[in-house]
Amino acid sequence: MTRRMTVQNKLAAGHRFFPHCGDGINIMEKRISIPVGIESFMARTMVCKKCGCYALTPEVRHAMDEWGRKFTKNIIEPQPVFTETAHQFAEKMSMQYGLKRVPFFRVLTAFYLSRIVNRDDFLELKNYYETHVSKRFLNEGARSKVSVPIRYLMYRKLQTFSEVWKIPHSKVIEEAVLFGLTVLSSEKENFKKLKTISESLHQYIADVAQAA
Amino acid sequence: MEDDEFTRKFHAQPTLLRKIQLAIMEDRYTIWSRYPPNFPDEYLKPILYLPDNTPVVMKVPRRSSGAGLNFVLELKYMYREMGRTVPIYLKGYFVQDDVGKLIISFAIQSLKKDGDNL
Repeated sequence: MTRRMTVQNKLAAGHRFFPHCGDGINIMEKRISIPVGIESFMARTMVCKKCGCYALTPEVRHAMDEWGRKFTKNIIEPQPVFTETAHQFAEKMSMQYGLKRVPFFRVLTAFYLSRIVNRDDFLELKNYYETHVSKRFLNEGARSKVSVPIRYLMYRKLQTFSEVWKIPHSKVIEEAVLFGLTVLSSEKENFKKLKTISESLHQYIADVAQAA
Repeated sequence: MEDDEFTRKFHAQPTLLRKIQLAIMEDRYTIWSRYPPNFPDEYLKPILYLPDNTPVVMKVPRRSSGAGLNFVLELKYMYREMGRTVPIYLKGYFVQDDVGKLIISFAIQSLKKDGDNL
């Protein structure tokens, strides 16, 4: 901590030239509110009075991460929309593991973001399920939305995926859940990869259900 | 790591890219942000794995009005995670102490994708 404070002080002292406004005379230490989802993290850091830029120093970043990990409230609460068929199938699958539907949606989202999106064949998988298997989940029955509360750690991954693909959080959850439901219903499909992923997903859900 | 040791290591790095990598690895960087941060750290990770021949442009210190900064650097690279390739532009400079002897940290002025702030 001492080292970090030293760095921050020297960082302030070292600003002969401010990156955006051209000089350091408008820099002051100030308590600010940094938005994180629908919540705010309060921090004391250097701020430029002229342009509003603030410094995310190592200590601010670490404090924010620590705050987020310990934060017991939801950071965001997206509302993905699913068809009645998707809801019913999700209900059926979640009951097999003793989970409620919304926590089940979170498990599918976590699996997608942690085990699927960084695979080398991700685009192939994404294309396959978007164009083939998940059609009944997309089209059959009335559509209704559901609130899925998300906490900090999942928010980080969700946010990155959302930025990279330029889609809102709710759409990311829809994509993740539909992928999961497609995989779970793929036992009779010929696409071998989905069968392997299906086994892995079943195990993942079982582990989470056991821990819950 | 103390400032003098960091400074020694900084000068020992053979390339500008290695100097930036050192600052990231040693957690000696500050991101100046005008918008909600949206976890920009994530977009710095690929820098650690860039090949040694990745070009880093060092800007010439300005002379017109007052002293300019040394070590103002520009770097372009790709973020290849989550099934998509995102071009990233980074601009920053190494903060020195008042007498210009010690290297304190890397101040990131700009971290963008496709012209948008991350």
